[in-house]
Amino acid sequence: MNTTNPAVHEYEFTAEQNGVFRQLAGAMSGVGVAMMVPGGVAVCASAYLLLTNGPTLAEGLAVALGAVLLIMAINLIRAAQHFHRISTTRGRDIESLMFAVDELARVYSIERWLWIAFGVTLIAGLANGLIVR
Amino acid sequence: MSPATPPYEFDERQNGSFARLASAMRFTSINLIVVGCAMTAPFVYQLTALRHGISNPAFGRYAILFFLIALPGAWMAVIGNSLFKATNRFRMVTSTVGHDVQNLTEALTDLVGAYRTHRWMWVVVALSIAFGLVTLR
Repeated sequence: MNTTNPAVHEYEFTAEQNGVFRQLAGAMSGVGVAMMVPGGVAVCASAYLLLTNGPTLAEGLAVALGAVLLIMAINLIRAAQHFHRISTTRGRDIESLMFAVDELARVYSIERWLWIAFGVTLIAGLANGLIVR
Repeated sequence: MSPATPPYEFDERQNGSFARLASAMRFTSINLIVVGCAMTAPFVYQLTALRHGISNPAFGRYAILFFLIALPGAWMAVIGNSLFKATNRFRMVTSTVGHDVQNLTEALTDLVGAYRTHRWMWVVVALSIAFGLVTLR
């Protein structure tokens, strides 16, 4: 028996709402592509230095940060594609919307961990500075 | 007379997705606002002091540095504010009945603002790097 709610597949956003989805998709993919550039550069440059000079903490951190930026950029671009699909297809608006929301939630979950890591590093740095003094 | 179409309501699972997004986004938005304001405050404070005739020699010497810290700070605060507004709208999608699509559209409109500002930030960063590279040559 098909238990899927038919309304899920039948709901269509209006032309005006589709305009908002298009605008969001455009701005979001722009940010995603822009994030990919520093992410890619950080990964490639640090990986090259790691291979030529041997492993160091700074290069390891740069590779990790670059990889995180790349993952966030890919998720953002995928979310943007789903938002764009809402405005261009029929019959799958809510499904595409939920895919986009899940991708976006992944981006912000990663960002939340980055903020926590930043806060911990800052506190550790300050504490270290106070101890050295 | 045809019966009026009932307003679309997201189901429990979909509300869960919106709640997860709102929670993660809220944390980021608050951090962006706090850090952004902290970065902008010294510049604004020094400018206000200057307008009241209180001059600070350090500010005179490093005004450009104060500005260069304040500019991304202001940007972060603006993005954080738009995200925070979107977060509240996403929460309303999950907690209210009868206005889901309206709240969603308003949340997405706030997100458009946040991402447009973010995109401009990247454009300025790219231009600054290009300018720096040309100047260094």
